[in-house]
Amino acid sequence: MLEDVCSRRVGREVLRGVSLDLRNEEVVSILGPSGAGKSSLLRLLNGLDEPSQGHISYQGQDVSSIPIRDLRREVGMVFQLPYLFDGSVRENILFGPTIWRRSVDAEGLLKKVGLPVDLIDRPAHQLSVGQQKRVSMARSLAVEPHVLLLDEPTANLDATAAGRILDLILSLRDELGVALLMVSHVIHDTEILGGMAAVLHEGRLVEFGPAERVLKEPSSEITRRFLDGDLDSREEE
Amino acid sequence: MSLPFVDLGLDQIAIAFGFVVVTIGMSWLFGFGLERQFTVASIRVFIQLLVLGYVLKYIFALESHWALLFLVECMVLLAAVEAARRQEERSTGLVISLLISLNVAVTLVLLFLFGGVFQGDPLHLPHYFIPLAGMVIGNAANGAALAVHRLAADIRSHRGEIEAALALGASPQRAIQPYVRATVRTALIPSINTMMLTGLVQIPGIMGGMLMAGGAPMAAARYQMVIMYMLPCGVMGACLLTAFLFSRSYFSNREQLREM
Repeated sequence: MLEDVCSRRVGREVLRGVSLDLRNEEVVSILGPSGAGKSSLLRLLNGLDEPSQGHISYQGQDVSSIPIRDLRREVGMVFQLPYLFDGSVRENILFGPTIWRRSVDAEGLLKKVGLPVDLIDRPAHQLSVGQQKRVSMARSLAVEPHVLLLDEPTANLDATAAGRILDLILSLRDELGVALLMVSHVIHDTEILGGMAAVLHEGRLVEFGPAERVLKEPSSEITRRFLDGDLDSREEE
Repeated sequence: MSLPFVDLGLDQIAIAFGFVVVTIGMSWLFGFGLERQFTVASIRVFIQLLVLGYVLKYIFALESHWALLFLVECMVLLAAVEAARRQEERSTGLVISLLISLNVAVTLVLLFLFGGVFQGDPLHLPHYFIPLAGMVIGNAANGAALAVHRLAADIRSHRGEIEAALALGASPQRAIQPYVRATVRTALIPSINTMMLTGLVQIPGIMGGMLMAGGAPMAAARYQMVIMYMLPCGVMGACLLTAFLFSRSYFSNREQLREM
């Protein structure tokens, strides 16, 4: 839950007084043009940034009182770029479990994200962009988060690969029961995913409600303009 | 056979200055534009070594542990400031990191050296203690400067990977571990290369010095071995500690990678 949250990055205010109640939500899409503050919001939730103002709570507890590594494990994050580590696919997947001293079925996770098991010992950087994104998802899932933050999961993918990633995200929700918070500027992603949708513009929350309603009958003029492709994108976040 | 030691007077130094005149002349003739810098550097060599000579003469005569420690500490301070000055981003934190690392490295190496190898009190061996401390400090400072430079560049260019590791619950130290490893490797490569080639291309420093002072070649070779084994240990220790201490300044208390 976010209360009046502001955030600054590189000297610029990227979030301005965002309040959002995400309790009891299983799937939430954060929509908005580039530079709206969507990725910055995810960074706050994973604890990679600190809010300059306001409060964020998780399961009724202010996040500043939760040990940061525990928070990051609970609220996993998949970045827009895969950022895989040097080494094999297996080493990438086992990175988190090794830190947390847990055993995990790396092959099983690879299958779960829709990749053939024979890729497991391949150098991670040799895979295609789409495959790397799946590995980065498997890597995040390996620490068994309760919430998964997904930053533009379909960016830089062709329509087929993007469709497969969305199918995978839906299966994660259904099979693993992980709550999902996905940032996207692609409206189609939200249509497929359903759940709730929040619209950000210039760091402010302009709308929040069921995705179907937000997409079909937006209550905000800014949302309407965004859906019509009428909003100027600011610099990349 | 005892070979003679040739003591040099100021008149001979003046003659040697002929090399400087020739070098400056060549620079002027071929338009290298190094005349002024080379003149300043040559004068600095004269003054700095003259002062060092007097300081060592005074310190040796004092026969005091404190005087030896004071001199070593001055060397550490100068080396740390110089190593920090070579970085793009300078900070007090960096100088402090270097001071701590160099002090730890030189202390441990000298303790082992005088406790284990020489088995003697540095007070009675100041003519060994000061040059050896200088070698450890100089090499460790060079290594640490290289390490800081490389690590800062790596952290900047691998921000995404580092944050991806943090996002999985890794500690900052674990998140930058691959870059610290690469950094220490880079800093150690010159030492390993020097070890590989030692004695093949040129007679190394301390061995050359001992031979010129009339020492026996085998004794000089043994001393050189000790130096060659000692230096990389000091360099690696200083690099590792500097990287560990310096990298902390890149993260907040909540283990967030600061903006750069």
